[in-house]
Amino acid sequence: MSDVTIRCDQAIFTSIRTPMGEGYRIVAASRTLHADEKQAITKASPSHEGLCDPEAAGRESHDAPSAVAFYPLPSGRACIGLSCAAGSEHTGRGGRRVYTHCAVFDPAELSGCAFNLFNVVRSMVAAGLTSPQLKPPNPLPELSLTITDNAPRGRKLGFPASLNGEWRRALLQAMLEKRNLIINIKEGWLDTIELLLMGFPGPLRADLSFAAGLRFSLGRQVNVQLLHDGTGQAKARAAGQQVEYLDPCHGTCTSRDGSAWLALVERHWSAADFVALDRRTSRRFDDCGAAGRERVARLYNSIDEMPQLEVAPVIQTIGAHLTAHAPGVEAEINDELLDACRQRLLSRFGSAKWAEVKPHWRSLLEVSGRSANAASLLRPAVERALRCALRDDPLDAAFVALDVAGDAVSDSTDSGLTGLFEEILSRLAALAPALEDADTGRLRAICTRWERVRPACPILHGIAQYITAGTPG
Amino acid sequence: MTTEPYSPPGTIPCLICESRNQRDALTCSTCYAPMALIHEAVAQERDPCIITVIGDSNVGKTVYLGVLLDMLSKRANEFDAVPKGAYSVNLPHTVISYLGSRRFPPKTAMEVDTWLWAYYQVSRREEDPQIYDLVMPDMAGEAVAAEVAAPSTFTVIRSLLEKSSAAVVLVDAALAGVGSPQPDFFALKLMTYLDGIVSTNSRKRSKTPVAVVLSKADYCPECFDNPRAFAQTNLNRLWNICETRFENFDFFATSVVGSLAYGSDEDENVIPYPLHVAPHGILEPFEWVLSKL
Repeated sequence: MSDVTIRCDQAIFTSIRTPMGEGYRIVAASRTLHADEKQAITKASPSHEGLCDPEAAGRESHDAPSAVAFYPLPSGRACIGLSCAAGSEHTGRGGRRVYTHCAVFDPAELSGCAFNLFNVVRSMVAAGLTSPQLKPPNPLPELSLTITDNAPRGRKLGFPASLNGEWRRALLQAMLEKRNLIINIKEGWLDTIELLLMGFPGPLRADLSFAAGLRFSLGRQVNVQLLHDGTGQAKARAAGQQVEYLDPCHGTCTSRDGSAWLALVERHWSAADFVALDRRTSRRFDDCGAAGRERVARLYNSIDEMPQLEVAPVIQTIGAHLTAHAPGVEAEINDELLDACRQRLLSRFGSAKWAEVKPHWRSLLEVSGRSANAASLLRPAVERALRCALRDDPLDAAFVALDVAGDAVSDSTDSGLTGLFEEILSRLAALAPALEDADTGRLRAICTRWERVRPACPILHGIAQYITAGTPG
Repeated sequence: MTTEPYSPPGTIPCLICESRNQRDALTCSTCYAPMALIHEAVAQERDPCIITVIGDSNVGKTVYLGVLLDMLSKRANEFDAVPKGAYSVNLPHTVISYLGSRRFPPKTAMEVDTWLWAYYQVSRREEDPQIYDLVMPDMAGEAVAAEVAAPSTFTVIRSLLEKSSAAVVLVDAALAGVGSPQPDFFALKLMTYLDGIVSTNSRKRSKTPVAVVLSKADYCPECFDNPRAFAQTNLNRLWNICETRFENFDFFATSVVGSLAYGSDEDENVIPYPLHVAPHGILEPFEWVLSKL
């Protein structure tokens, strides 16, 4: 991802005393923030004791927010609100002041940020938006956020211990089905939502609103609320509402499913391979529906299984995916799979004996012969197989090479195979004197066939003379 | 021919906004008022009387309501008050507990579903008394301010006022007494908003009783001598709109604490500590409102 700059309006929602009033409200905002956007921000932002983080009172280092919310605004723009504690409540009635800095932007801009909301969040933190401004200028200027590829590679992301693999898959499945959720976990709300979002196809992420690290409120009207519900109040208030309460802290999850997408994501989560997961799921998929996700996941799963596959299933996979007609990104991933297959064949043929490769020679040729693309894709594997044969059984190498020699002769650009044929025939010529009678008959048959495809080959002439005269040419 | 609006089976209407909700819902999914209100109201078999207490942030709504409900529970002035549902006791319990430990109760959060609501059955201790089923939420002043500034931000406030038989408007007398225009302007906005909701005719004055409670009057004792005069002098804009747009209104001075001490926190905010509780003028606005219902 190259650096991109997104322009945002901004708003600060907190509790300060000014000549115009006191208490929680938007105390400063960009001039171009619409009235209905301000109204939505007022409804969604946390007020007194709105943060879950029990340590927020003592930790105000401002290098990370205590809570993050993301939600759409009536104008079609989206808002990211970063909340943190900002000293004690000025009225002296106890508790910490909650400070929320909001960035309002066009959600279409997310595509330039690898669809990763937390890239924007990190840029907001880098721009100092979690350092409370309790005497902000009003109006606030327009904000330019430079979004870099700042995925937290150096920092350890991770799920809390209560979220085992089954819970993670269940949560992701529920989110993909657009169910409204309250998720009760004791800590790690921000990491958890970032990792869960990585399990979302990039283009879908802007459609999912969430609040992570904020106390429960029905009024926030977001799809997902990640919080700590220590007193069970959120559970009680969720009763009878269009929202599900999921409690990994106290419940067990035994749901099992056969989704390839969930298996793909979980495999990366389990291996803590978040960078690869983010790279894979943050592409501009054309079809983000359930069927499209499953197709993509099956491709990725096949790629990941490739190092463990034997030759036969690899050739089968190539055969199955050679003629796939997928759009856009899916076609690219299909190509990645085919390339992985080719690499796997090359790797296997590099160390295998000809006796191991020979059983697959026919199927390799069959798939290779389906199209020019297939031939081009599999040519290095064919060449590697022939070298394998040349190393272990030169006579057989000369025999099977005839299967592709005709094609290679017609393809004048294929200098690699032509050179290999010369090596094979030269080796044959060198071996001829040492061959026993039985093999000499086979050699004669092979040479006869070779002369049909390479009538002017001097090596073949030499071998023919040796066979005829009983002496080397 | 008229028909009843369609009601999905297994649902009940919210007492405040009338949206249909699941029977097991604790909170209305539209306005977030507690559904326990409707369960209690159904049990009473009569329409409850809603009195809405509104005012700016930090004006003293929570303390006023909590002390009022506690006094009613303690049969002050021959009143008898029965809380309908244990949730109704949470507000006075919280307020009295905090004041007892010489602290003011915490701020009320803006999130509507966290507000404390009280549903009391109030009557005079006399033969064949008239019974009032009073519903009173403790709203966050910030939510009131946001709704007044941009109507429909918090729909519950509008729904409540539409259903209210009377309103109690709290105004910070201490601030007004030292010349701050803020209480006057906010009250003016509030009354304009209220007028827009309760008035049926722009030329006629509204009949809805409005008690304007001058809170924290212990800071300006002259307020107790003549609240109307205090308002005319220090809250002139408020006085004028009341006179122009409301038929039933009056001003009352109120204070809860007898004396205060001050400290400061680590951020050098001034912290007031209520040294003792000495309620003054708490019941008068309530009695006046009941007399006008």
